[in-house]
Amino acid sequence: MSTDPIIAGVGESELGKTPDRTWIDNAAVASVRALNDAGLDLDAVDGVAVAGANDDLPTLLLGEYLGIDHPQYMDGTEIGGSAFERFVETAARSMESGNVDVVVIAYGSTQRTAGEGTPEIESSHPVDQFAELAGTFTPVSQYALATQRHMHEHGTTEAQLAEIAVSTREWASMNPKAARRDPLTVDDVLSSPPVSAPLKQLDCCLVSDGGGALVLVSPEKAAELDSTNVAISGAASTQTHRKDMSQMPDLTSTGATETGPRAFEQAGIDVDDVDVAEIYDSFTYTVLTTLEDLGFCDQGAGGEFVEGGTLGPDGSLPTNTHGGGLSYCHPGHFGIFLLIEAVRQLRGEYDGKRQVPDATTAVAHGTGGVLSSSSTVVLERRGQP
Amino acid sequence: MTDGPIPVVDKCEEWDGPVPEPTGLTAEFWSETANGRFLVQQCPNCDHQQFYPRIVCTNCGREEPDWTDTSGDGEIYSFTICYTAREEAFQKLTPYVVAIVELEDGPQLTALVPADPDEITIGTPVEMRLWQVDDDAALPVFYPV
Ligand SMILES: [Zn+2]
Repeated sequence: MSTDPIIAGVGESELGKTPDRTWIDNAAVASVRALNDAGLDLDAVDGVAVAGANDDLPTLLLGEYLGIDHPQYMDGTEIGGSAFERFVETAARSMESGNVDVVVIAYGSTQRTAGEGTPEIESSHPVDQFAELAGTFTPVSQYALATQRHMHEHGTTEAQLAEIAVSTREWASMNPKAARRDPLTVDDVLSSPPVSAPLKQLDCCLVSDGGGALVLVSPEKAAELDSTNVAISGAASTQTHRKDMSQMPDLTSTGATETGPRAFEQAGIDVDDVDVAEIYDSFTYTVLTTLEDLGFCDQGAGGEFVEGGTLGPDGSLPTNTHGGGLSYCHPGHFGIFLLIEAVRQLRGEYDGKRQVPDATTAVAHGTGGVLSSSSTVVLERRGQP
Repeated sequence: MTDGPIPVVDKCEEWDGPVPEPTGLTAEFWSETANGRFLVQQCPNCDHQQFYPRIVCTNCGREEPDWTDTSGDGEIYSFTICYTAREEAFQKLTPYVVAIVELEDGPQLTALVPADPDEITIGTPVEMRLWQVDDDAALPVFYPV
């Protein structure tokens, strides 16, 4: 549809370790780089969205920090790593009202510099009284509980999960910005130290500082810009639980079972039409269950599906083509980086094997919490790169 | 099914991990754990059972659903072996097992399983003990039967 909003600009701040920056510095740097990429100035912005920030009123801060007066669209809803895919959805709906033309969606973090904080039992949240007393302080244990159940029900193996890390590293080896670029084998993953069995160190994402941003514009505004049109043709979000897997409705499938079909239907596409997939990879398992839930393979068949390099540069479903949260960066809420990479692939910005040939349709799928929130965005290139 | 109260084990001296901080609603739940009772909520309106304790029935919306006893018997629905922990009390226990336990007469909950990881698999029958960790509360933990 010619009425679909366009992602006209993307950008990242410095990634890895940014000891002299705050989260809002990283979010702001990414924002102005994304605006620059779009060919827009700050004064064109009339909408802001930010999540994952260490501020209780984050959109107020981002707007003030960037000097954005009287935006008509604001969103600071915190649903974890999928927040940015959801912002694309809500900003797109807001644009359809005709009041909003340029929305900055941003994220910033200094979680690597800050280190891991001391956990506290929140007396205000009853489930914390149980989950944390059991010794599950970190998301990895929660993801491990889901992984173990999937292995039990479907025969999924640790080696199959490892294949996801290996394919992702192959992509990272071609990305100069990626933190980990050395070749990786299945054996390397299997022999890495156990963290929360069955998940091992190399099944887990990085811990990085950094920020990312994108600029969503109305089709009218896009017509004024000199940019390859990457359109939002479908978007859907949902949530299932908060932070303890005993509350998850089905331990082996996520909200992507709903958001995938809804987003694909809006876009008028089938999974077979997807040229490049950017799938949240907090852990290898996150990718496996999401691919099943989105319909790239049958439920329970994810293990077989990812075997043989399916997700890698020579595979049938190029996935996490920047190296993902496993090898590129993971500043806490990775969802923004999935959208950034999807846009760059659809624009055809890369050389050689790093570029997925003739990529016209991409899916970016965010996951937040502990497999708790799901947001699927379908992006389509309009015209030639 | 176990008859009578669930065994309460005094761990007040040796436990240096987190202790429950009852809120208004969970105060009754935690105080009964010290008496060997593990309560879940059961709605008098629609029979729906739920855990953790909440002020409304998540099935029909009835306020303040009733409490009902559970036997504490169940089986392992899923588990993980934790090799690292942020809290010192749990660092000392590594590698330790955390499981989602499906109670035979109630819902699921996440709990510590103080057993050899080799003894645990999905489907392993387990029974509850309540570890008294301070004057007012005892933690549910599960041992293989
Ligand atoms: Zn009810």
